[in-house]
Parts: sequence; structure tokens; C-alpha cells
Amino acid sequence: MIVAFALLMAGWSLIAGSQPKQYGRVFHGGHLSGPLRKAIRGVGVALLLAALAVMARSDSAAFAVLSWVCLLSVSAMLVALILAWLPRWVSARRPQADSVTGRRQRT
Amino acid sequence: MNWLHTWSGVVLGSLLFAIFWMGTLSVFDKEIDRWMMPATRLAMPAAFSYETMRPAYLAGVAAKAPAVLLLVPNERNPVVTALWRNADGSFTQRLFDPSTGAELPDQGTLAASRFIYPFHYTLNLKMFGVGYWIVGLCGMMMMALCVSGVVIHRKIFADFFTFRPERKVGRATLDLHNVAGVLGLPFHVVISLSGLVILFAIYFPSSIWAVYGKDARLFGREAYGSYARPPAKQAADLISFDAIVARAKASWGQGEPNYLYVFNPGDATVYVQANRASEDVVGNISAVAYIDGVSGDLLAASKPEKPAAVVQRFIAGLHFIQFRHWTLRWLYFGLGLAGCVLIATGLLFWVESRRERHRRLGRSGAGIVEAVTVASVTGILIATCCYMISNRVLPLGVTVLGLDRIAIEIIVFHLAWLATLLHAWVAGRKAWAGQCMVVAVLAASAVLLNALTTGDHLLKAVAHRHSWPVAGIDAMLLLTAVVAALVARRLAGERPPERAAREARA
Amino acid sequence: MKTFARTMLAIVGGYVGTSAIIAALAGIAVAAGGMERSEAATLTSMLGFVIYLAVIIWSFADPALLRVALGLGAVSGLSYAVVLLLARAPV
Repeated sequence: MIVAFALLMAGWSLIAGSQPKQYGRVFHGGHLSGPLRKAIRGVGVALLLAALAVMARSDSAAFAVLSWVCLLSVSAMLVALILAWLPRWVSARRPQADSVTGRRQRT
Repeated sequence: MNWLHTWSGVVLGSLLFAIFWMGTLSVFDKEIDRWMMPATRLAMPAAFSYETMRPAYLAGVAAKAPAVLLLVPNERNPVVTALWRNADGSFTQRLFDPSTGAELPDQGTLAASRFIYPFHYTLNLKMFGVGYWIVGLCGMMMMALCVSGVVIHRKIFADFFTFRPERKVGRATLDLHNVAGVLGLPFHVVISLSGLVILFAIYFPSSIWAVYGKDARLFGREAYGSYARPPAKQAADLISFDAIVARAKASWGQGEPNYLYVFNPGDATVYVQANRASEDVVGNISAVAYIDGVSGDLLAASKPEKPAAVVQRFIAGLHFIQFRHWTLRWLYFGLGLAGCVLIATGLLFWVESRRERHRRLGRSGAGIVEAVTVASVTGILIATCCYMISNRVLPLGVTVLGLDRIAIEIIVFHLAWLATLLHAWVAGRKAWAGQCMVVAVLAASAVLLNALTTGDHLLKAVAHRHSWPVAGIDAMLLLTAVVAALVARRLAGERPPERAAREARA
Repeated sequence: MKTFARTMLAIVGGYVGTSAIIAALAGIAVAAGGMERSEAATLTSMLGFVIYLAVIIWSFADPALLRVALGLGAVSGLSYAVVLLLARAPV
């Protein structure tokens, strides 16, 4: 279950990170090329499915699918919450980026 | 679509929040029961004999009940419960020790199983079943809200991870609404639909009428294989409960029963409906056996095997969570809270985006909705805390103005709720911070009162396996207190919108 | 006023219409499909929630309210006729 949870968190992080908006937020205006973005997203989806496979091995089919769907939602929400505060943590460690977040906070 | 989403959300949002909140608490109904009924914080005996249930059965016979429902104790609910309906239509519940069979003192509370849980699906409005219909309508509208929400915000699927707490309250609220809504969408849809499907025979009886005509009562017998026979008015003793359970298990194989329903108790025609506990399957009814209480013969047995009935029970079971699966139980709790956040932020966004305009135009709409929203969000938390506090403060067997303990607890709940509405109306926007602070104080004092009145403080409760439910509720109350205090501080420190606007202009 | 009419049509009209449709479907499933009575009733009642949801969405999504009212009325009337016919015919 813990392995599955880790896989889900990693998968969602990759999918979310590959979205141009989020990537830009974390890496201040950085840009990902199209094929690379698709590849990252593909790996993310594969990780999500791997979690289902892990859970199906330790539980009966009905419970595995049910818990997978629930955990899918919960882990995605956690990733969203982490992403919400990530730009601030990153900028706290990189002082030169402060002006960027500072401006954003006021808008 | 936008219109449907906005207005059905505003009109039914408060009710939906109450239903979701009570449903989320019901995930841990048995644990709240232990917290509110200290005499039932018992350890299950290493070897449980079904014969221990006899005193509970005899109490029902003495009360001349037409049928006695006996709940088999288990880890989450370590008491033998006897429930029956009296001649005047009221219900009696008595609790018995699972080790000795001795009756436990009356706990004088409806706790979670008989107050919070029925609130979830009837709002405790019993008159003409009107509560069922209101909740049913809310369930339908929840699904309509999910569909219309997706239609309006088609593009948010592109960036559904976006939550920007650093932005203005209005924007951050909408972000949170989208995150909780889109990422929790499967749960919200499935939980609303499955809640409705449980009661399909109440909500959509026309198909039953169409195929059964006048004998609609046969539906239960054919769909669930139920059995009934009238009393013979001749006294007889019931054979050993262990023998009854052994016979039932012979019919369904592996698995213990979760309840024994004794019909015609004390009569020569006494028979027992044994229901297999669905701990290991999702569906809520896995097998039923009817045993003759005098001869011990199997009268009838049924297993769900007809496809539509199996599907219905699977959907109902996934809502009831009667299975033994702690991970799923916690996930349901978390997702239920996400549903609460979704509804609360939806209401809040409506208020935030209209407050300024309504104030300029001298309209009261935003003010009224805000007061109702405050009362239905932080208000129901306060009312719940007051309900639990009154439970720890009132001594057993107390009566005030002719009202018994059960009635006082419920009155406290409703008065506290009403008070939060009045406060919200008077205090306006400031009510949020104020009520969050009250939640923090109340939740913390509930933990303190539990320690003082029962001696089961957090450290002691954690040390014993059987009091983990109590420890869990205490921990959740403390967490609630911390979160509420943090939110109150953040809200109190926030610049009011007028001042922020002035600063922006300057 | 129009909004009120739309809401009433969706909630009340939708409920009555759905009830008629599922009653007809259950009747047909038993008479023509040879389905067991309890199965037909359970299945169509569960379908009722989906049909009701579709009707609610439709009546709010369609700008022409009259079209929704006529469409729903026609389907409900037809369903009710089927129910009456099946009730009279010996099964």
C-alpha cells in the first residue's frame, strides 16, 4: 500500500509538473519541449497504472480497484497542495528569484 | 448550465454540506459511539460464545417485543446490542457486555449510530419521510452539480493542479473548489449515486408497482428471499445461540454473522434470521439464513445471485463501508472531507464574488448567503462539538425540565447551531474568524473533558488496543482544534477588502 | 417566472416522466425479455437515477423550454400507455 502510494505521488507529480503552467511556476519561466512533455506525462500515467498492479497483488480485485480509485484522488489532491507551496519553498532557497514571487503575490 | 450550477449550489449547498459532514462523521460512527458511551469501551473476549447473547434476547422477550434484533459484537462495536420496537412505535436499545452477557448501564445518548448517522440520510425529519425526499433531491442535485460543473469548467482539466493560496481569497477559493471538485470527482459522483441506489425502492417505486401490481410486498420476498411466519401464541424456549449460528454457517460456509434477528421471541414459532457479516466483500449483504428457533432446522437461505440484485448490493455496500478495510475507511473519510471543502468553497466563492457589488447596490443577498454559509460550515462543527461536550458534561440519568439526557444532548446540538446562525448574521464577515476560534476552543475542551470524566486520556488510550477508537477521536479533535486555530489566525490577519482596494489604488 | 417553470419541469416533470419510463421499461423487460420480476424492478429503478439526471440536465441545457416539455410529455404519455396496456394483458 505504501509502495502504491509512493508510485501514485510520483506519477501525479510528473503529470502535474509537465503542465506548462505548473512547470513555469516552479522553474520560473522555464519551458519544456512538446515531445519531452508528452514523454514525462506518459511515464506519469504508467506509474499510476503500476500502482494499481501493486495493489491488485495484495488485495481482492474489487477492493484493489476501489482503493486505487480513492487513493488516486487523495494523492492527486496532496500533489496539488504541495505544488501550491512549492514555488515559495524553491524561491526561499534561491534569493534571486524572490522578486518574481513577490510580484506575483501582489497581483 | 452555469445558471444551474450557481443557483442549485447556493440554494442546496448548506443542506449538502450538512449531509456530507454527517456522512463523513458516520465513516467513524462506531468510534464516536465508543467516545460518547464510555461504558462500552471494552475489549472483545478472546473466544466469544454466541450464548452470551441470551440475556439480551431475554430482555426482548420480557418486553413482549414482536421481534428482537441482536447485533453480534465485533472489534469496532464490542457490545451485544438488543434493539426492538415497542407497542407505541418507539424503539428501545439495550447494551450487554460481550464477555459476561451482563447488561451495561444505560448510556443516555444517541451517540453517532442513532443521531449523526440517521441525520446523514433523513436530517432526522421523520414526518412522512420528508427527510428522505429532501436528502434524495440533494443527492440528485449533487450529481447535476458535478455534471454542470464539468461542463462549465471544461478547460480546468488542463490545469487542475492549480491552487494558489497566495492569491486573493476569491481566486484561491475558486482554485480550491476546482482542485477538490475535479480531483475528487469520481468519489463525489459515485457516493451521491450509491447513496440514492441504496434506497431505490423508496425513490423509484413505480417500476415495482408496474410489474407487481397490487402485491408490491412480494418484491422484498422475491428480491431478497426473505421469510416470515405468524406467531402461534404458544410459549417455547429458544435453542442455544451457538447451535443456531453453527446451522447458519453450515448453509453459507466461511464467515460469522453480524446480526441475529429473532422473530416471534418466546413463541413456539420463533425463528432467527442470521445475516453473514460482509467484512470481506464490498456488497452489503452476502448471505442470509433463516433458522427454526425450536428445532434448529434451516427454514430458508439465500445468497445474492441474481445479477441486478448483486449490482445493487455492490453499489449499496460501497456506500455503507461495512467491510473490514482500514485504508479504505480512512480514504473515504479524507474524500468526504474533500467533499465538504468542495461545497464550502463553492458557497464562499459565490459570496466573495458578489459581496462588493451587493453592498454597493444595497442588496442583502450576499449577506444572507454568507450568514447561512458560516452557520452551515463552522456552525455545524460548533454544534457537533457542543453535542460531544454536553455528552461528557451531563451525568448519567440526569433530567432537566422533564427532558431526559438524550433529549438534552439533541437540544444542545440544535441550540448551538441556531446560535451560530444568529452570530453569523450579526457579525457578518468577521464571523468566520470568530467561529473558527470557537471550534478550536470547543474541540480542545472536548478532549480535556473526555480525559477528566473517563480517565482515558490520549496517552492511556493509545496504550491499549481496545481504546484506539477513543484515541483516534481525541486525536482528530486535537487536529481540528489546531487547524481551526490556524485558520482563525490567518483570517484575523487578513486585510479587509475595502482597505486592500484602497491600498491598491494608492 | 420562466426560471420557476424550468425548475419545476426539471424536478417534478422529470420525476414523473422518469417514473413512467422505468415502469414501462420494467414491464417490457418482464413481458418481452422474460426477465424475473424482482430483477426487472431493481434494474430499471437503478436506471431511473441516470434517466432522471439526464432529464434534469436536458431541461436546463435546452434553451427552448417548450421543446423539453413536449418531448418529456410525449415520452411519459407513451410510457404510461405501455404500462396500462401491459397491466391489462394477461402475462
